[in-house]
Amino acid sequence: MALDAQPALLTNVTLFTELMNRLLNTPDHLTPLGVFYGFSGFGKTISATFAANRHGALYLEVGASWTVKKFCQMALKELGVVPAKTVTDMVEQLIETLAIETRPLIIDEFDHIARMGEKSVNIIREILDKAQIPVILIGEEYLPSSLKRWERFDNRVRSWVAAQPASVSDAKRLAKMYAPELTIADPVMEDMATQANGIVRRICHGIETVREAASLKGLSEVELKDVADITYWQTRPAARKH
Amino acid sequence: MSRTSTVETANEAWGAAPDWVLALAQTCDELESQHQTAKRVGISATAVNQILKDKYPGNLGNVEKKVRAALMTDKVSCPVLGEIGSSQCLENQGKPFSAASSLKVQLWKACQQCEQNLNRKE
Repeated sequence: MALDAQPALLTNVTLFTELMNRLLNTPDHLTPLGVFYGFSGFGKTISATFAANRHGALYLEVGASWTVKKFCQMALKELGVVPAKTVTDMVEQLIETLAIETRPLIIDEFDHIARMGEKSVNIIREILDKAQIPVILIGEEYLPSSLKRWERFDNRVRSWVAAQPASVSDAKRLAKMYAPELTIADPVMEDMATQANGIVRRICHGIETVREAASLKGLSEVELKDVADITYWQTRPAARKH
Repeated sequence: MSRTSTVETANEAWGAAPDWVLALAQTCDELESQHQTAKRVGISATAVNQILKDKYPGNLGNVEKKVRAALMTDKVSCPVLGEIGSSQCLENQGKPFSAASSLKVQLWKACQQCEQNLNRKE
């Protein structure tokens, strides 16, 4: 599924785009820093990639194995700059490149950097302070509370935005995006959205399950009675006994 | 069945038709329908017909803008990023593998097997 018009109407994509626009219009005496947080599976990453694509942002997904040094190397490579040897020099390169290009920076999975401690977070803060470009940090639900430990960081945040659970209309849009050939009746999507408890990723699993079931039964329209016998997504399998 | 091509018709009517009129005519030939072309550009079928015959009574500048925006922008449809400029597409094709984000990995995979990739290995 390509990142153009279709996802634009999903709640979290809209929220993220609004956040990006607010940061792009930040006056010069304030830091354009935003935090987008929410539970796993809420569709934070798809929202971010959508905005990154639209604004030509530098988009990085921090890996669980990364160090600050790795972060700097990855960011520079993405910008097409040959990374220097030390973190100090790489940070300088990053500030220069980002400031000149004025590209927004989106850092997904920021929890990993927050967990490294204050020094690492402050390195990001240095980049942001000096380059003065919009930066959006994305993390799980508890990211704000872990950032609030450091007043120096906390008071720079222009805007905290919470990703929202998926609504029924989000679920219907997702069905159009991922199963365009199927007509899934509204009650089915309502049932699925309720069961998913707002988790977008579960709804995506559900849509795929319905799609498989429909193609097995040779259906092009799916009603509530057609899905009575299927579970939308599997939960953890029970332990096996023998 | 042989029809005179719309491009020929336009050229006869205009003498030497400007590029945007030719683009409009070419699209009419491709879609084999002035009506469909009109829909794509966002103007009426009547307007398309009048422009091709150089008999359009309205503001030509306005329709020219619409035709250029709808038919002559250098856009490609990327399976990962949606509609992007062809220069951005070329730039992405030339990039080495990057694990900076899952999006970049997806894009790299898509580029490897994309028909628009100029250096794709057959």
